[in-house]
Amino acid sequence: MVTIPFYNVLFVYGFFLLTFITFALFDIGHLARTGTFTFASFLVTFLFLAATAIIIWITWNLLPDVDWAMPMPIWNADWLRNFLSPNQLIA
Amino acid sequence: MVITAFIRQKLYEHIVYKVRRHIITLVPAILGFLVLLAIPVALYLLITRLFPELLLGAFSYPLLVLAGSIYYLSVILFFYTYFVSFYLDLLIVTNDRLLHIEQQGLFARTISEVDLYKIQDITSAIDGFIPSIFNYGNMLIQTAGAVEKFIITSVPHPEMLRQAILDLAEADRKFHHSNP
Repeated sequence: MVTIPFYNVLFVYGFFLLTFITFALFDIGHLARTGTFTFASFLVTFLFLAATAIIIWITWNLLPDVDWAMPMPIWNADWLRNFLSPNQLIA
Repeated sequence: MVITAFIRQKLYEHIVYKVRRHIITLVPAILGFLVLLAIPVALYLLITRLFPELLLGAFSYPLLVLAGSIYYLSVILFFYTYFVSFYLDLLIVTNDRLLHIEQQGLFARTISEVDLYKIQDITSAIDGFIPSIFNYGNMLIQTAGAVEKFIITSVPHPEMLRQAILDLAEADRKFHHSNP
């Protein structure tokens, strides 16, 4: 069995957040550079930032008791063996 | 930098109209956004009925939460980018020029402009049930400039705008004839 520490998925999530922030800054930068920060665009930007904060806060609060150091199996030969087993197919 | 600097406004030039696509054209995107927001809720209900053990697993539960978080962040970012693209599409009519700024996604923008006195013909069209109710439609502007045709879609009050641009073009033509 091949395992990696579970906290590696946080790196993937962190990479996604970096990409998210980059694109969000591009969007806000476009509005700022073209001077189109009107009430409508301000309202939508505010709602976007509020929704982002709420989603991250909920994510954080749903994962308080996770043991991020536990080993996570990424490959186990038994998965394939069981999958190809006739008993599995019949069952 | 504000939009006036962005288009290099001339000293004698003033903006007469700034026109965006009709707000009603955002409605299909908003409906799609709401459907996308509802998908994880439906999946959650399915999982609680069919595979409840997934919500208790040491690995599966955190992975589902992180996947849901990534999904929702992606959906709101997609919608925000769509809004920014919608909002930056702009038709600017000054007393001298007509500028059409078209934002295509995050990394592409087209700015076309024509001097008002070069405008030859403007066609406005309201086509369909919803456009008729909300009074929006397309305008086709034919010019003698480098860009022969401007197609501006889903502008509010296209007939009124067509007449207003024609009046401005006529005034600009007179100005250019008297000051060659």
